[in-house]
Amino acid sequence: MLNFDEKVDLSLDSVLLIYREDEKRDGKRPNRLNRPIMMGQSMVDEATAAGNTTPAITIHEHIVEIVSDSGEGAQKAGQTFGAVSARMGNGVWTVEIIPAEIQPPARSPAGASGIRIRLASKYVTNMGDEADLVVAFNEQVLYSRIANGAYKEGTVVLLESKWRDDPVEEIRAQYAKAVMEFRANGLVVHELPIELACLELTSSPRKGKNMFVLGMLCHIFSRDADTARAQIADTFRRKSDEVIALNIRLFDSGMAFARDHLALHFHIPPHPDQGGRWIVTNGNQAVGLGVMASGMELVSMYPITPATSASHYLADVFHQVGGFVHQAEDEIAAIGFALGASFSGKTACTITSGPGLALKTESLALAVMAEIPLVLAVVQRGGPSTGLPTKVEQGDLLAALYGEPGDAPKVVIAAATIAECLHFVILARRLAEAFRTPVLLLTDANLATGVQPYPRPEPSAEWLAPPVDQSTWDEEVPPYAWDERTGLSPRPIPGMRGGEYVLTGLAHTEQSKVAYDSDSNQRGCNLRSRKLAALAGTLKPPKVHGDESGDLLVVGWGSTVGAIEEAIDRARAQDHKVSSLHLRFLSPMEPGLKEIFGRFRMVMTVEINYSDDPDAPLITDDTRRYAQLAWLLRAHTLVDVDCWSVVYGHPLQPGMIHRVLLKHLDALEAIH
Amino acid sequence: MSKQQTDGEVGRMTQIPGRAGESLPQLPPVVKDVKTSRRLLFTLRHFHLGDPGAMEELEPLGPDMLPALLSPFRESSRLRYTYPLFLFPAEGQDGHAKAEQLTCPLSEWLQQAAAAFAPENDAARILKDHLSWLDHHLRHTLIDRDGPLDAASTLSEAGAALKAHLGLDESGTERLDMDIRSLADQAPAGAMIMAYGRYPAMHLLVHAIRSRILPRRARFRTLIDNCIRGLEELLDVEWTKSDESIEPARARDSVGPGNQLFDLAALSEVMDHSRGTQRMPEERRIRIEWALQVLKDWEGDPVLVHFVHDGRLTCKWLPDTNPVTDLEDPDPCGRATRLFDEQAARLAEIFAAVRIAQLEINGIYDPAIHDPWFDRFNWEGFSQEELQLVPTVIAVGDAEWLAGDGMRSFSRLLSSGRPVQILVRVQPSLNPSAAPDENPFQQFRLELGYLGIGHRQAVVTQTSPARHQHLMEGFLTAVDATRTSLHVLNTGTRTDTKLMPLNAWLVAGAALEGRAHPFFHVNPEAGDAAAVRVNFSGNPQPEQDWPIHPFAYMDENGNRVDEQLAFTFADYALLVGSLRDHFRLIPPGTESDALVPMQDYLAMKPDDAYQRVPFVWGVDGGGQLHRLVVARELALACLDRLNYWHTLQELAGVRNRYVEQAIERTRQEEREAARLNQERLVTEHAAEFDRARREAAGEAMQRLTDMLLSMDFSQSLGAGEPMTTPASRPSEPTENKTAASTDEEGVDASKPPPQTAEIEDDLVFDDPWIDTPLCTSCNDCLKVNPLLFVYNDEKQAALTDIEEANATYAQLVQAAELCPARCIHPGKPWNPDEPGLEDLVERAAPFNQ
Amino acid sequence: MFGLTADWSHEIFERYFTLGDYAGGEARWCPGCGDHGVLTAVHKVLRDEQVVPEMTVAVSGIGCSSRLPHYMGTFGFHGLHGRALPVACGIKSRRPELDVWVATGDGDCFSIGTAHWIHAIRYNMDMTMMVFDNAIYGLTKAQTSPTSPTGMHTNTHPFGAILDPLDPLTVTLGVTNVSFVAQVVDWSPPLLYEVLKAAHRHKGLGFVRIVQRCPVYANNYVKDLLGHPDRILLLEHENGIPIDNSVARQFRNHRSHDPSDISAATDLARDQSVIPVGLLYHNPNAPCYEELSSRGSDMTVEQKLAGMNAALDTFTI
Repeated sequence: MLNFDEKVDLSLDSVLLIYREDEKRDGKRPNRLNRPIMMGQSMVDEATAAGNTTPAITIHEHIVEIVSDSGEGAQKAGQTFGAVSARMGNGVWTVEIIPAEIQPPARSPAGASGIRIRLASKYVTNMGDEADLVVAFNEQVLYSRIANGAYKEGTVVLLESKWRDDPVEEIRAQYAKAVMEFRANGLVVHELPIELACLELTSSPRKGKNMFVLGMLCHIFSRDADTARAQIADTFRRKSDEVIALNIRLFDSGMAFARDHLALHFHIPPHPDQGGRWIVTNGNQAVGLGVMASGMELVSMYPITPATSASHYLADVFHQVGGFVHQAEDEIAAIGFALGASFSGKTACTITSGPGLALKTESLALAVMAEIPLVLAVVQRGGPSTGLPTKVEQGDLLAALYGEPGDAPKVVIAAATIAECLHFVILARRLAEAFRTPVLLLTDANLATGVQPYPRPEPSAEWLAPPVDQSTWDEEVPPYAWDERTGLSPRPIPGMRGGEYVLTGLAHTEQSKVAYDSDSNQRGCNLRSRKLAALAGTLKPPKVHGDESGDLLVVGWGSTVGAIEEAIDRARAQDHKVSSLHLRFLSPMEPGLKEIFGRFRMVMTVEINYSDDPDAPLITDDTRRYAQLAWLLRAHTLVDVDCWSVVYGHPLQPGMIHRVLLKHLDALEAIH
Repeated sequence: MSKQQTDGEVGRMTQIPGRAGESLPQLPPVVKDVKTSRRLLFTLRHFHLGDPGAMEELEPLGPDMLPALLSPFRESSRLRYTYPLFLFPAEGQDGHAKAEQLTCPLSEWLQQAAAAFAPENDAARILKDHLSWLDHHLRHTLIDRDGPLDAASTLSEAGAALKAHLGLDESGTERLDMDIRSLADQAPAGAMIMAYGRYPAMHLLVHAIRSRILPRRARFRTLIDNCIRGLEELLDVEWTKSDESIEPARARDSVGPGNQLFDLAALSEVMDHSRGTQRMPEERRIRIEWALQVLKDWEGDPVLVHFVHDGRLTCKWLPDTNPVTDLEDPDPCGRATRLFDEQAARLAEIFAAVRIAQLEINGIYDPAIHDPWFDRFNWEGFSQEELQLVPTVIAVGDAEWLAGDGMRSFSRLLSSGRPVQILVRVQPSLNPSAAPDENPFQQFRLELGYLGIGHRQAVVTQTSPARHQHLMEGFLTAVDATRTSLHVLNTGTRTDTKLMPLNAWLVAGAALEGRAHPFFHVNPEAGDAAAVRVNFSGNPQPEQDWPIHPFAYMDENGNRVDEQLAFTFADYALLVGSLRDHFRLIPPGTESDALVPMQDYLAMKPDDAYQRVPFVWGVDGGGQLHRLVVARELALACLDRLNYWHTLQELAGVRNRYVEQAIERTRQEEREAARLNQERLVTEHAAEFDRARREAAGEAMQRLTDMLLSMDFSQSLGAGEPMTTPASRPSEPTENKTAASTDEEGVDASKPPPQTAEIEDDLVFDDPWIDTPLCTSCNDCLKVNPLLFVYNDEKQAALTDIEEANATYAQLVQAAELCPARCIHPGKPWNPDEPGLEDLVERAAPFNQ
Repeated sequence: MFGLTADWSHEIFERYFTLGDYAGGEARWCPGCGDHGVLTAVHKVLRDEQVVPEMTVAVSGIGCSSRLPHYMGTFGFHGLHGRALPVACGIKSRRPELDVWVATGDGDCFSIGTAHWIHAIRYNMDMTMMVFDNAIYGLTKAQTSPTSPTGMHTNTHPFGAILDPLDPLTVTLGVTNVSFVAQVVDWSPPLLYEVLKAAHRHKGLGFVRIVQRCPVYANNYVKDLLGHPDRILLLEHENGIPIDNSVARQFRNHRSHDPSDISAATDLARDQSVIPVGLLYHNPNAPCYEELSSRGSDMTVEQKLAGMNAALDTFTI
């Protein structure tokens, strides 16, 4: 039985054990790439004399990884490769493999830094399962990837061979042992003198290697060399022409090297043209673009991983739309500053991650209590406490909803795709102002670092915030003229003659006068809560992916949508009656859930946050703690919603989910 | 050349190197014969007096005869002067550039430019050595070119010529080529080079105007853009209050691409923003939309300058680059007036729109005030900045017409105050009020410039392009002024063909030198006194009647003679063909006291002058020096010019007779006063001396008595002094005392002054009072008795009437004790029957100090 | 003739504001509380400078003094304990035209809000900052504050405060880009008024520490000072705070001090034997953060869309 505690065990046997089990279960044939390759220990080989290029085999999907010690530029090479592939019309998803430390010790499994690129002839929505091809700058970094189940039997490994002859005896030994182990366990290892080849062009190959590898990959996947060169030039646009020239030389020799010495050669046809213009960004850049498109003029932030890169991007381009990034003295000041701007009529945005969210709760409660528009983007990472700073989790849902003491009803939405990271900021700013409330936008490390092509939005004046209203205010209308039906009220802005009022976090009347009496407090709470009901009333019921009814309905939220739907499709292809449903609005909850759930025999959530494994010791129906969305749905719908969730720090893989589905379907069968 | 003359004609011209040390002019050798010379003198005098017969007998001037002082410059080809000019581009100016920032002689610019790109001495050697060649070359190739030419290309062409001229080896050519390119690069885009063509003044005027209006227009453009943005914001805000702003389609667009999540009808339901914020009144919206429309439709008028002329102006001279139009009209002044009004009317709309926009953006448009204002908004209501955005209208008047048929509309325009420029070109030798066929000296000369001054409120400039700096300064003040401006210009004409060709620039200069066309500049905007209005700069030796220059020649015996020679109107007349019959050669050797140099003749009293025959010095092509007798008619013309010159001097406060008399008077008075004073001192001193002597005796006696007295009674005297300190009311005396004490504090802050403290402690007073300025408005006392303690307008406590507030002494004491500022002083109790008085008085004591 | 029509279009009816226009609800501070005097002084400065009420925002944190906005007729923001400054800076960041006043206390500013205090000095945004320092937590009933004198009896230190008090002046003077530091006592309304007016006119953050009494919990703290008026040192200088006779009479201990001299100011602040009142330090030329943070506010919709498209183009494939 598949169990993730085993899976993160560093021993190879267990890993391969798992593979074998997989193949037994879904009868998957061992990897088809496992064909002989004219290439052994020795570089010079009759069959692959220079210039003799192996013809390209057409395939429709492939997952590539580049892993290295950090600082060796694997990610840059991968991003460039992804961008080139996207330009050539492939579906692409890239996700970074990030060590927590800036400079972890070299050649340490924990220090594995790199990138995964999944490319296909169809639109790709997630990082997929095990990799087909890995380029490794040293053998040690592979161990942690193997431990994460990134590879399978037959995964081709192109391994830097310099360590074989390393002066240090110990390293030579480690290398030899690793290569042996890999081979013994079914990885197809090719040792390549990558650095040696680079030395012909640069004295510091550690810096240039990545472009050489990019060249190799571009040959292997028959990428257009000129597109690649252009992309390289763009990647290094801030550097000198010499640097660009050198990198292009390295790239070219990498291509030549692969052509002359590798029998790997594939062709991945582009997927049918989707039409229109497309852009390629990661999720944090998308959030930044969303801020600009929404007409917000201020982002007030404090550095925190993995949210900060959104602000980095904005700091670079925000001035193009007249915006300003304020780096505050702390998380609390960051939201306070944003609240000040919002109060003054310029709705602002603050961007943070889990620990920052915790620090902001008091201010967030003030925003709810005093009804100040605000956009708060939370890029989720592993928790609790500092947890897993660089890795993905969906653990902040309940904190976002219920983090504040007292009742603090607010709008919480979650982006499921990189495109939505952009779209939802625009949405958030608009709702924040229309409903006079803070809006939390949840994304996560997977979206933040994932890179994917999506249709280019055409900015519209309608998205921008209107200019600050400085008209005279009708003194008959109090500062909180709540509409009894919707709880909504118009907002006076400093500068509006006759609109003067004192905003307060204390219980207050519609005149914004401090009032500790029971009626005023009850009324305030009623009407603030009523705004959510009013908003819920404007939402459509969510769409079901798959049949409208069936055996099992999987409910998800956030970045897992791609993996879940891919797993659902696989299962449906096997004639299983499974469907899925993905939530964007979590507060207020999207309408009609109870009715939809009723059409399925079983409903479960799939999430990247903690829940007790029902089979774990001491876990019973009484003691089991559910995943966060499951918790909400059970309370919200009174349906016995089950859940499956993990906190292993990585995006979910369709294969895993697929296995989970089958397991639950089996269980359903068993009931009959 | 001595310093004082450097602004004179001669000072402005230099000979090309190598021509220095010219051979001096020479008097022809003569045979002396008394008989003939007496006869001769008779003829000369008759010629002078106008006897036609005498005219025949005397030898007329050859075509190559020049005033002695100008002779060195007869070869115009070798003359170096301030043209061609380098014109700095008007673009990128701030609109306040000074004359020297707009133009400079090409020769100067070449030096600076070369120094700029090749600061080292030996850098760009070849080029630097031939800068004067370039200058010279350009002057002659451009001699007949009218209007400015692009500097960079012109320079490159000249450079090519230089290369051809030098024919260097390859490397040399290459180096020169490079340097010429860098030289041309020094010229900013839009820079121009202009020769002294036919209409230099007009081109410079256009240049001056561009340098002023272009920056102003740029500023105006930004202003308009800001207004548009501001008004659009107002309307955008207004729109968000409208129903259409929240209709489903809008609601959909406003939430962005995420909108498929929403039921749009429902969404639009909840997005109503029309409450609280108030809609703008309909008429305001209409007004804003009107202004916005006007602002958006506005595209600046490309035309900067409108010339209105009577058709004598052939307009080939207008380069296409200049945004200049020209109109023909027999009455340029009248037409210019109408044209300006049309222009202003057209601009009044956009100016009104801008003003309304600014008022609306600041939310201070008040229909009651502003509607009537904008109803009657015309150019007279323009601000200075606005007025100076109106394209300049220039009436080019013909002198004769202005002095004749045109006088009326000319005069009307001058007094109208419309900021229109009137340009008139005058011939200093002629009289504008004389008919073409008339003898110009028939009547006194009509001075158009003085006519302008007569109109009092117009800016009047009399100048000449031959002095580009002066001309530009005049133009700039005129363009900056918001009044009608008259420019009286003398361009100078090339001498007519039958004479030796003389450069027009030189002739114009001679007119200035000969007081035929004196410079002045009158700007009424500067104030009401002539002293501040009139600028007299540019005239050579302004304090003299005629500018005087050293002149040297060889006499008949070959000895060098050095003289001071004046340049009079007669010398100038020598350059004018039509006036040459007013001269005849005085045969060499004619000696007589009756023959006097022109400047002396003109300085004589009429009776003395009548006895004399004036002459001027002339030099012919052969370098022979001649005396030329001058006809009386011309001499009188000189006097007429001199009279005008004196009038101008007086206006400018130069050699002002009033002042001279005043100074003389004051001198007299001072001498007198000094004399009287001295007498007084002498007598006083004597008296003092007496008294001193008498006192000395008495004093000794006095000292003795004093001593005796003090021995006996000093003690009792000290004790007898009565010690008194006036019991003072609290406020004013204490205040004075502490004020005094604090001053001492300033000097020594270390310790508080004891004596002040004691005095204050001694202070006691009866009525209760509050030191109101010290009250902290803390409400304490008001709580004690709100009728007794009240706040004043400054929200600080004061006392009301004790009876009316039926206050008790206890309340006062209690309040005093509560008061954080200790500013309540209860004083003495007023009601002996109030219980517990002793106790209260005791408690009150500390607050009564 | 030009100027013949006099331009009367600028002669408009000006609004005139009285104390009443700046006053809000009836002040609910205890009788005898120093806050009353400060409130009155603020109203007077606003009245005398004719500041437009709807363009004024009073921002505060939590504490007795932070009630001030409720007693103002202007806009107000009564936020969270210690967080007045970030909010105030945020208001100023994109609306520099607003006139911002910050009311905070010794606990609010020098304790829970310390980080914001330090950094607000650095940002030096153009606003008036009043610290009501009565050396005690009043609203929460007599706990030791950072400025409570050693030995002061409080509910958290019934046997007397154990630490030496923090000196806000030396700290403030030590922060980069400090531009205006003044101190005043609540029982000298004329001086209080002049100091606040100077702080308000100053372009930059006008930091004013107001030593004042809490008649309920820290009465003695001020009583001692009133008892020893010579402990208060009145700073005089032509570039300092104008001093009238009543003030001169009130504080007999004077010293001339040039407010441009920061080291002299620091020495004054260090000297614990006296309480300097008046202007300690003034630098009118320190840069203000809003000059950076408000850039681009004047962009048109077209410019913004253009900028947005430019940003998207760099990602377009």
